[in-house]
Amino acid sequence: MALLEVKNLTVYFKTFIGISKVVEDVNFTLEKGESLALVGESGSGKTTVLKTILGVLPPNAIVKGELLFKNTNLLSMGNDELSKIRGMEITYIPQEPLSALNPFYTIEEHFLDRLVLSGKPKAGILSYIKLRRKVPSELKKTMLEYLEKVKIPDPERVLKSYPMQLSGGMLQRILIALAIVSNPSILLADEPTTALDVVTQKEILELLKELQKDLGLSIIYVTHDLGVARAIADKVIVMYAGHMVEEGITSEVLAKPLHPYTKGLVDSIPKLVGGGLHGIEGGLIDYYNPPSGCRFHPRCPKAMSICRETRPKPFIVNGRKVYCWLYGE
Amino acid sequence: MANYILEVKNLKKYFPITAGIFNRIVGWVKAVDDVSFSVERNTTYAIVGESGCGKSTLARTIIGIYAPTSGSIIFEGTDITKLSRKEKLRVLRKMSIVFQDPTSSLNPRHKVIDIITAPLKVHKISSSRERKEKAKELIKVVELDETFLNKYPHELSGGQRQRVAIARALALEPELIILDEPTSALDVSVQAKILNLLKHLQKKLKLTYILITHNLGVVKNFADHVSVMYAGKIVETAPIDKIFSEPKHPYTRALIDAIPPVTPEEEELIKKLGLKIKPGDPPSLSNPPSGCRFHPRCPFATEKCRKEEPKPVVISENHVVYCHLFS
Repeated sequence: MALLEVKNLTVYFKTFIGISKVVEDVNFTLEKGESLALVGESGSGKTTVLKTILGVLPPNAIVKGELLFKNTNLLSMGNDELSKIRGMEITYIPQEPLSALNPFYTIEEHFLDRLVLSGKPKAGILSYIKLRRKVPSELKKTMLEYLEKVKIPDPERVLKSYPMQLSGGMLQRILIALAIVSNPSILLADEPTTALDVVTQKEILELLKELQKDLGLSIIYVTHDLGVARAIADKVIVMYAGHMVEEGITSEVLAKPLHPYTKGLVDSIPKLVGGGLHGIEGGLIDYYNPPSGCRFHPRCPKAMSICRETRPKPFIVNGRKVYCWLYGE
Repeated sequence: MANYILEVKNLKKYFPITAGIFNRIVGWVKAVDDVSFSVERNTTYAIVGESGCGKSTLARTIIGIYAPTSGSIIFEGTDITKLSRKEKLRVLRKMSIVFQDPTSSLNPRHKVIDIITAPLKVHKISSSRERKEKAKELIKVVELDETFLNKYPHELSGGQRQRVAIARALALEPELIILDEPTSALDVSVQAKILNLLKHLQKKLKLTYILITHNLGVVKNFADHVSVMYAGKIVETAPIDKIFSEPKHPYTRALIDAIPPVTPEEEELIKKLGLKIKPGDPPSLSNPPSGCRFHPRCPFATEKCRKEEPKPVVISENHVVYCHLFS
């Protein structure tokens, strides 16, 4: 049984100039202990998929399809039920570490909220005030334990620090610690290393991989960097304009991309070995009025007439799913 | 003797740290500390390093946004740090800059036509009719059509905005363009197109580039010569093929090691050249470590590294490393 099953997920946004068709028919499964990367350029809907799973879409979103977490549909759940899963079973690491933490609170206070209040939709202000007076020693022990798990040197000092006193890499480690403290089964990561330097990025990726193994976590990792996807994820889904275009084992997809878009993306990366630079002609699509058929056809060098008319079904090629008519019949 | 368009000698840029009501100076942030390099005409010179290593300060000091604390910047034989304000402006016309984030470097209240002709206006070069003609010419050079001239920056995509920024940089027909992370805010498919455009322009207009970046992949595909900076100092400088075949400085190798590889061939190369360093952050520039600034993170650090600042060691022609390991 898959831990998370996403079935025909479609997300539209109602706006005053029409309906923006952002994500259409996304299908995938996530097993226990598996890591999956959602890859695509900015505006390809990868973060929207993540936010839908987390249940934090704005009120103008129209969501169709099913999100089966341990066989229950997250989309039909009420807020009270959902709050037992969101932030507890499914947790999240944001992109920008400095803006994700409250500058007025110390790291210890962040931990306190997380340990005592999350998962309780109606905790009330009194329990909050009581909590602030004195931190129970067993909670403090847990905090230190988790800070050590994410390899923070001198955790005692860090607990008393404010976010601005710590470096970006440290803050990202703290956010990871905050995310795993509730012992989740799924960790959603939204470009957690984009704001960091390459050397720090590598350290964070190694940490995530280690935690995944130790805690048996499943990770959905959103990124635009194919190299990062290859470092962290076993499986990759390439998205273009809200559609899935290719799904497979990460190293295989990147070594031999099948879909023309994936190929264009891989060829665009400045590499250390071989290959010149080729961009992809054209820009992102208009979501209010998306191209018919395959959404990539206006930019595709190999577009045929069928691409303009009908949306490609997933074809299985070498154990990989490719949404492209080139591999049909 | 090589034909150098720009020579930077012992350049220092310190920012004061002040305190108290009289703004007493209590310390200095040594953002660029004794940096020397020379750029050959019609080539691309890359400067790489992590954020906070002083690479952007270096770029801004060269182009005159910041006044250098000491040292000289020799552009086509004249030291611009010694010129008067008026003379300096005339020399600076031959240099321009493309900034990192096109969203914040273009004025949102100005139309594209005003943005790209602004340098001409500032230097009082041409009449308004001539400027219009020039704008039409420039927008074509960056492969956009004339309808873009009457648009505002928010109507453009990131790639188009960066093209406008490039057009503006070309307005005064410069000889040297400083590219300060020109593609780091863009998607990879757009990045490739912008880099190709810049390469094409370099050939056509005989430009010299100084590329500031943290992306070694871009450096490999775009530059001819590279300097690696760490904590305000250059640690290694070499031609492109040398840095990716025999990097010497431990920090250069650490940077290569940190690249997430995309293809198996790349992975192999990174494994061969890379070096794991101790986890940690770059040092504070107001109180840098003694001796070699990299020693607290260096796996090969010795007593000498802690005490003495390394002198340049010439490995081969144009390949210089600042490290005690090779002396």
